[in-house]
Amino acid sequence: MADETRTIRARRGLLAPLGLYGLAAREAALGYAITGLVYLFLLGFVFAPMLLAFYVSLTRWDALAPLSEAKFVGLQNYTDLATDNRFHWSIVHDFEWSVKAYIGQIGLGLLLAIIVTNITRMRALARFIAFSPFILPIVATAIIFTIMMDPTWGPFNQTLRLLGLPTSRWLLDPVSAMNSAVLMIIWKYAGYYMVLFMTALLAVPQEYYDAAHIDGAGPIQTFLKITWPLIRPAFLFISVINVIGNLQVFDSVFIMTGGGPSRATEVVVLLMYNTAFTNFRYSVANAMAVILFFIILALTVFQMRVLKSDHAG
Amino acid sequence: MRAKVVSLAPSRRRMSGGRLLGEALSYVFLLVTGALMLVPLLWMFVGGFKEQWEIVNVPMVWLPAYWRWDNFVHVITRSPIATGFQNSLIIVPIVTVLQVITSVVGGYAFAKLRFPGREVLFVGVLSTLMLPGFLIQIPLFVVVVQLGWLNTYQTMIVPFLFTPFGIFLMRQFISGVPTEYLDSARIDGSGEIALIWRIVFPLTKEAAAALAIFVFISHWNGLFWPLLVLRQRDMFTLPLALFTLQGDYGTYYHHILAGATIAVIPVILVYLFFQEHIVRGVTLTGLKG
Amino acid sequence: MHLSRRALFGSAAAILFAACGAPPPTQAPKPVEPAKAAEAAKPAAPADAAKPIAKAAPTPAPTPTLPPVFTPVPQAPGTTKLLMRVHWAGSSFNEFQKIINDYNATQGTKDKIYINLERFVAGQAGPIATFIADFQAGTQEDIYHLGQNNLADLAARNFFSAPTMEVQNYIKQNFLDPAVRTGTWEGKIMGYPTENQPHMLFGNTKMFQAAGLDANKDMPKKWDDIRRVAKATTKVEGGTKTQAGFIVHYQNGERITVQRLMFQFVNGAPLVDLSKTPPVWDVKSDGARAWTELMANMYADNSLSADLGPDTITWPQRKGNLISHDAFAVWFRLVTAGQPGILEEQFTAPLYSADGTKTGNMARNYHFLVSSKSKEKDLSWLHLKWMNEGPEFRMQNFQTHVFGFVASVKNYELPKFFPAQMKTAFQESISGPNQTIMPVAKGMNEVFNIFRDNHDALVLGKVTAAEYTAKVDEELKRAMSQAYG
Repeated sequence: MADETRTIRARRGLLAPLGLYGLAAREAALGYAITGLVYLFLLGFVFAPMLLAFYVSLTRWDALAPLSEAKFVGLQNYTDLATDNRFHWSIVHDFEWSVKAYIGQIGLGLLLAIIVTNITRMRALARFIAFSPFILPIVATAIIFTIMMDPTWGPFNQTLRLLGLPTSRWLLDPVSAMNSAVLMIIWKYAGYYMVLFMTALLAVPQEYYDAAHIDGAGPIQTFLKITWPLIRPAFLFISVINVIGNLQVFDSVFIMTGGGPSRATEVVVLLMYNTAFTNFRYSVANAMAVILFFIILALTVFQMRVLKSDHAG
Repeated sequence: MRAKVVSLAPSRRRMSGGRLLGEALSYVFLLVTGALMLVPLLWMFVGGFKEQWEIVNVPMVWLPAYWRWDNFVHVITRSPIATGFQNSLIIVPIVTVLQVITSVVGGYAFAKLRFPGREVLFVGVLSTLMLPGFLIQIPLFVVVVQLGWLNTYQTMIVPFLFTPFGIFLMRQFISGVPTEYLDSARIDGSGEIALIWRIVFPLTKEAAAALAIFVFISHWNGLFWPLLVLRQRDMFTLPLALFTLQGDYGTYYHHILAGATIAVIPVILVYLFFQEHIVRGVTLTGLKG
Repeated sequence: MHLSRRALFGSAAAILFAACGAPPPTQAPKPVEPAKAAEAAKPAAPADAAKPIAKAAPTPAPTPTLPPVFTPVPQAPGTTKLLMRVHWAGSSFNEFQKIINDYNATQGTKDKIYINLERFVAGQAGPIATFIADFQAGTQEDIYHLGQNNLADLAARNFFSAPTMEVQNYIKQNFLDPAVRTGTWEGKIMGYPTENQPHMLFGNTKMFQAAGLDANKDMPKKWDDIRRVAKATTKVEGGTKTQAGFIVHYQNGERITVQRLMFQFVNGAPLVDLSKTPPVWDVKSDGARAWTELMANMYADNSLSADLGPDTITWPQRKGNLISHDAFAVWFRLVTAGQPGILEEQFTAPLYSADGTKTGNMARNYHFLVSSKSKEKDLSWLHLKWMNEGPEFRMQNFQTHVFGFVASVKNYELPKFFPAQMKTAFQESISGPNQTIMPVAKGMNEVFNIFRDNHDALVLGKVTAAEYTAKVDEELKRAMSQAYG
């Protein structure tokens, strides 16, 4: 005990200006220490590269010449992008992708979660099956779907033909390519969101449901009045991360369609990648990334405002 | 405090007719959805045993004429898959463990330790989530090159020591731990570090398990970063090795599917192992009101 | 407080899931793209798809197996290690490793050189990112083997180091002139061309026969005839097209550009004017628009194959008749991935101008090049001398006999597997007077993308010929100003 007191007195000096003494000071000191470590890491591995990338977006650089030779051009890359039709369309495609994926992943995930929470048997099996699409590496998933969606040979169309339903050209047609690729990403992630929602749903105390049942509330009312408010904080996070992830989609689209056909699925990060590495315009790609960052930031703030719950998280 | 039983079977109550119908419909829906989820996967597993043409034939060949174990043998002995497997098996668990630890500690700091400026600092960490990874990869690569870390294990581990995602998540979870516990432990003389070890870690086991699963999967399947920094075949990770299965001028699907099947097995095992923790964690009643 | 730890756990887990759903962008180039990579090579499926097949039918084409790993010979003491990377894999890589092993064990010990051979990790589809990464890190290969698509862009950025004048003169004297020009930047010959890609028109004699035509006589010369033959050899059964008269390149910008270039060249309406800086691409001249309109007309006739998938499938699977393609496709599409007998059914002809009076050809090549950052430039060129120069012409030999390419060295024998008629056609074509090259210009990748995206829309009937012309013209101008600006 005496040791503790001595240590506490020693700390008093450091954080006294902040009005922290004793145990509080000790607590805060650890807080700063940990935060310091985190920021040290972020500084080297995130902020420094980020600042470099911001700087590069103000230059004209192809990443081959030494960085010192990069020509500073100010906001020219940004003004160029402001008039770049292809970039604008890539943002449109990005949003189209994100909206559809959001609805599909979260909608299907939530629906599955509600169902699976309420059935009596085979819950673990259902969970595992729904989860399994996620564990596949993206290369394998894309190949599987590309084959399955082949208009002539693929099982999808073969099954549709068997059932007498009209077939689609899936990934090969500009009109259906985006939806086909989104279908794949919903397939891949619905199970995840299901499990996520499940864990949130399972946290709702049973008494609430019992009470509602006694009061004669129907399923929809129960959901709106009881379930939803309680899973809202979870929903906020799911929503935020879903948007962040989907707006940055790259691998799925890259492998399945490469942005085609006819740029129907060209999303921002794909265009970024091509701009940087196929066209040697690395700094323009950086400018695109910066713009995307602000878009994501704005949307995140928006979601937090809309979905904010009353108690602190 | 009454111990709550979180009923995972709300339908233990009397089943009304409507309930039965609802349940039946649910099973039908699950059957359909489950089949849709599973079919591509099963197709992949079976495809690993097929001949190339059986995979792309019209009409569909569901089961191969004979099961070509050769595909797997070839993939293991004649491609970098085995090395890739080994490397991944070393790197990914290490990253997982490290990330879980740092996320718990970091999340704890932002959730429970009180210090001025905490919220602002947390938002700073959060903001890094919104950066397109692309923005960072190449400059990070330059940093890594300066450090002389190309082609090494540390370049696959050190840049992933901390993960803002993990910190964010653990922060949310740890917020639920009553602060009174921690304060009373402090007053009883527990050191700060001991607090984390003795109280926070045990209470966050389930979340840590969930985090572990997801970190594991995302790193097991990661492709772009290894592609940039692993320049030699003997250092390849599994996704890279899988990637090299593409032939010269064509893709040999039967090999890729066999390779993907091999790649997926550890992930399934990890999931099954950690799922136990999550399920148990959820069904255990909280000893707190 | 009802927001128990479980709810928060749920939130936490939720984020985790989502977090792992959004890893850093991973790159995995499609199994497609420039120069030599092809899309799915699907070996023969039984031709008659109507018969229900419950069990496996006999396989016409053998299933490719992974060849055993071919181990390199160990490095001999006293030799300097050089790094060479190629994009081949599987048996092709093994065959080349044999040659390198041979060098390392014999001449290499005399030259005091040891060649360490590796394969591109990123494959053909996207090596630039790794090139840049390597270049920045100083881990780039000493010797590159590259197609010419990126040559101008890289050469303009001092990526390569040209050989001595002695070597340049040797190349000039012994290799076909167009092949040399494809590797020349700002007057300097940058490296040894390794093969050649004459561009021809192929037709299927059986499909001609079935339409009451004779390939020997009726192989189209005038572009109107192309349209007519395509229409006659298109088969529609029960509302579904089963055979397209003209196979279009689809989702492959390089193929499309090459094809367009060839047709416009022989038609006297060159696609690009390289004498200007930036180069001026022309899709608006009469000769140019004739090609665009031919495509649009064939779409209107329902003769195109775009709705049946990429040419990598339709050609070897007998889903289409006429196709214009580089010679290398004979090996990769027909021999290794085609249905049995399809090679012998081909009739090979040169490409003609719209009025059927002129022919010509074009060179597209890979080259061996040396990195400007290589610490052993002289040694690199010393090794390449052994690999590329006569009388052995080892690289030419490898490319023609392992890959079935046509050679870029003067008077070199064509591979034996080419049918006689095909051989004659190739030989006449590459020895003719009217030869052009794939342009050596900056921004070629973007050009390919522009042609690919717009062409795909055209052959699916999404745009008219006039819309295509206007859009492509504008986009090409922009691409050039960006590449040269």
